[in-house]
Amino acid sequence: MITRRGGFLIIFGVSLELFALSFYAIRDFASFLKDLMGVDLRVFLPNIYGLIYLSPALILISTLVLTSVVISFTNYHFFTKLEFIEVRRKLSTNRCFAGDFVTVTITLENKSRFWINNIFISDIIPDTFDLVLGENFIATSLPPKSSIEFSYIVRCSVRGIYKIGPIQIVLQDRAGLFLKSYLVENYSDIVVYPSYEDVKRLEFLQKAYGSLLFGRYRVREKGHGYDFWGLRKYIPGDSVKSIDWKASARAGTLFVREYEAEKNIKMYIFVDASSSMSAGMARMTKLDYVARATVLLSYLANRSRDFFGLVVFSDGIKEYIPAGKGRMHFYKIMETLSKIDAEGPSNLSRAMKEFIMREKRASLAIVLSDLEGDPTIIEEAVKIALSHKVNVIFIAPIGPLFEKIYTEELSRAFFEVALMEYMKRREQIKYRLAKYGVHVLDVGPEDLVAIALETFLKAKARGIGMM
Amino acid sequence: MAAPNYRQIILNRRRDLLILLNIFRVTVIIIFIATIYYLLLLIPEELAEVKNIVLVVSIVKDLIVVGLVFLIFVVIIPSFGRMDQYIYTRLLFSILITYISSLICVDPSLLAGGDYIGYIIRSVTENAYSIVYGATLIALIISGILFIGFIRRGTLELLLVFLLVTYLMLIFSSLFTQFSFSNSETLTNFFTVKGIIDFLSSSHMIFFILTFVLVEVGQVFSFVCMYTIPLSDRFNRIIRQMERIERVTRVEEKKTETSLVGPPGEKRFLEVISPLAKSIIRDAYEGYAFLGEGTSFFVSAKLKAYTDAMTKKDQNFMLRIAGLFAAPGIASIIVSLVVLMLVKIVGGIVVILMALYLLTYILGKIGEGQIVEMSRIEAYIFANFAVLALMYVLIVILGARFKMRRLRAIKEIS
Repeated sequence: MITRRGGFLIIFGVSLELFALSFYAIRDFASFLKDLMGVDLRVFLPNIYGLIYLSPALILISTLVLTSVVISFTNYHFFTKLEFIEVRRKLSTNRCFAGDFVTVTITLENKSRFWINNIFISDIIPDTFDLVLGENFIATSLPPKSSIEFSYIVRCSVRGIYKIGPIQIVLQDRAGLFLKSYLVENYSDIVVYPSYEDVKRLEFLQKAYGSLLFGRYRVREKGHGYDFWGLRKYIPGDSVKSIDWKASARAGTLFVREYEAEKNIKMYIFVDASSSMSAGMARMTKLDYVARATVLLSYLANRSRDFFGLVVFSDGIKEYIPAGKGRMHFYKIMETLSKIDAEGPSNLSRAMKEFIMREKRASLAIVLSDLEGDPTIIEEAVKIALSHKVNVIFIAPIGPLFEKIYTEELSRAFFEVALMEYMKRREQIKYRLAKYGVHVLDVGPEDLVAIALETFLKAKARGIGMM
Repeated sequence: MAAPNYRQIILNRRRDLLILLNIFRVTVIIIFIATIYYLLLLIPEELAEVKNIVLVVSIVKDLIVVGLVFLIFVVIIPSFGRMDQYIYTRLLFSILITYISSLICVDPSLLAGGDYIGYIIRSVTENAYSIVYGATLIALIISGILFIGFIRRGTLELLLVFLLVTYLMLIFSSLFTQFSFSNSETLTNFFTVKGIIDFLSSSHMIFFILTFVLVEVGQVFSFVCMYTIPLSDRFNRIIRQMERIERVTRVEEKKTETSLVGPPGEKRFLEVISPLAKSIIRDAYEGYAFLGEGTSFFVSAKLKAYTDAMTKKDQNFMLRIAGLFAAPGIASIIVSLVVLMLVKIVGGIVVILMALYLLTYILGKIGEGQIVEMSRIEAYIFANFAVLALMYVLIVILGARFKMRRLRAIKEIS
C-alpha cells in the first residue's frame, strides 16, 4: 500500500513532467491565438514562448525522482516481506497473582540476507493489564541475518485467563513511501490468580512477630503429635518410651512427656458466583473481594496442613474441587478462582444438595455470599448442611458498601435509604439462620478479608469440621 | 560487583542517536542553503527584491481596510435601529474614518469619498509584475517555513510542498520576464546522450540537480528521523520511568537520616512506641506490603523490588526494557543508506538512457518518420513513463513468481 508520503512524491514527479508537457501546449495555444485571432498573449506574459526551455530540466529531474520511487518500490516489494521475519514472545511466567508483574520479551529475527529497513512492531496486551515499565511497541530496523530483542513489564491487575497478542507488524520501505501492515496471530496464555497481597501482609507479620496470629487461637489438646505439651506423673500402663528420664532423675520420681494433639479440619469454601456478586466498581466487585478472601483462607489452611476444597456455585455447583492439601492443590484452587465469572441466579440449596452427594464426611463450610437470593432457599440449604454434619458459617458482603459512589447529597441520601432497606432484609435472614445456630458475619470491603481470617482461626480453635 | 549505571548507558545511546540525527540535519540544511542560493542565481534580480513583498503587503493591508470600512458602514451601523438619524451617523462616520485613516496613514478625504477603491485598483494595475513577484516570494518564504517543519520531524511531505512551490515560483518568474534557461540549440541537442550530458553539466542545471539531491537526502533524513526520534523518545520515557521508581529508594535514604528512626545502635523512637509501627514504616521504604494498594507509590515500590530482583538474575534486563538491543548499529545503517542512494542515482541514469533509446526507436522505426503529431519532448515524456511503467510491471511479475517459487518450496518441504 502506498502511503501519503509516497503519493506526494509521485505527484511531485509527475507534476514536473506535466509542467514540461504543458509548456509546449501553452506555446502552441499562444501561437494559435496570435495567428487566428491576432491576440498576442506576450503583452501580459512576456516570456510565454520561452517556457519550453525549462522543460528539459524538469523532465530530467522528474525522471530521477520517479525512478527513485520505483527503486524504493523494488526494494520494498522484494526484500520487505513478513516471511523473512520470525517473531517470538517469551513471558517471565504464565501464571501470576493479580497485581504481580510479568516481563514480556519480544524477539524479532530477520532470516533473510536483506535489510528490513523500517519495521514497527506492537504487541497487543489485554485492556486489564497495565504497562508499568518499558513499551510494548518499537520502531526500528532489522539488519540481515540478525535478531533484535526488547522487553516490557506489565502489571496484571485483574484475575482471569488472558491472552497476550496478536502482534501487529508494520513494514515500510526506507523513506516510508510504501507500507504493509500485518497481524501475526501469535498468542501467549497467562493465568492471573486473585490478588496475593493479603497473604503477603500476613506473611510479613508472621515473619516479624512469629506466631502472633496463629498463637491466639492455638488448639491446646493432649494427644499424639510433635509439639511438646507438658510433663505428668507416670501412671502404670503408660508407654516406657514416653518417660522423660532427665526430668525423672531430677525429681526422683517417674515423669512422662505429653504432646499436643494435631487437629486437622476439612474446610470447604463456598463462593457465590451469581450475577449479584458482580456489583461494585471495576476490578473491585464483591466477587473480586471474595476471591481474595478465598486465597487467604486457602493459604491459611494449606499452612496449617488442613484439608481445603472449593465450591463455586450460582444456580448449582459451577466448579467443585474436593478437599485436599498441598501446594499443587492450592494452585488448583487459584486457577479455578481465576476463571470464575459472576452470572446466573443464586441457589445455595441446590448447590448444597449437590455438594453432600459428593462429600459424605463432616466438614466446615465457609460460605462467601451476599445472600441476595431467596431467604427460604438459604434456610433450606442450612438445614440440608446441618443434617449432613456440615457446619456452615456465612461471611456476607453488604452489597451497598461495595457500590457506594456518591458525588452529591442526593445520591448519599439514596445510598443511606438503600443501606437501611438492605440491612433490614439481612437482619431477617440472620434471624432465620440463628435458629439453627448458624452465624452470618456482615462485612464491607475493608474488613472482608480480615473477618475471613478470623473466622477460619476461630473455627479451627473450636475444632469445627475436624476430621 | 557494582551494578552498571543503566541510566547513563541509555543516555549515551540516546546521545549517539541524536548526533546521527544532527549530522543529517546539518547536511540537509547545507543542501537547502545551496539550493536557495542557486535558485536566487537563476531567477531575475527584479523578482528577488524586497520592495515587491512590501508592495504586496501594502495592497493586502488596503484590501483589509476596504473590507473593514464595508463591514462597519454597510453591515454594523445599519444594524443599530436608532442610528438612522443623520447627525449621529454622520458624526460616527467621521470619527471612524479619521481613526482608520490615521492607522493606515491615508488622507481621510480619500477614504471618505470612496476613491480609495480606485486608488487600490490603480496601484494593482500599475505594479502587476511586482505584485506577482512579491506574491511568489511570499509563497517561497511560507514554504521555507514548511522546511523548518521538515527539519524538525523529518516529514517528507513538507519538503515536497516546499519544492513544488519553488518550482512554481521558477515557472512564474520565467513567464513574466524575458529570461531563458537554455537556447534553442540546447533544446535540439537534448535528445542525444551527449546533449543530455552537456545539459546536465551546464550551470543552470545545478539548481535542478540540487533539488533532486535534496529529495534523496530528504528521504534518507526522513528515514533517520523515523528511526532515531521514536527510539530517542523511547529512551527518554524509559529514563523518566526509571527515575520514578528510583525515587522510592531515595525517600528511604532521606528518611534514614532524620530523627524518625534515629541513629543506629540506640533504642529507636519507633521501636519504643511500637515494634509493629516500626516494621510497617520500614516496609514502606524497603517493600510495599502495607502501602495503599493501587497507589503509584505502592506500584513503584513493588516495581523497584521486582526490577532489582530481575537485574540480579540478568544484568541486561533494564537495557532490554529500554530497547537498547532493538537498535542496530549506526555505521551499518549509514552504509546501507549510501548504497541505496547510489543505486537510485544509477537507476535514474539508466531510465533516462532507456527512454532516450525508446524515443529514437519510436521516431525512427515504428512510425518511419510519420509520427508528426507528437513533438520530440512529448515523445520523450511518454517514453519516460513507458520505461517506468515497464519497470513497475516487471517488478510486480517477478515479485509474484518469486513468491510462488517460495510457496512451492515450502510445500515440497512439508
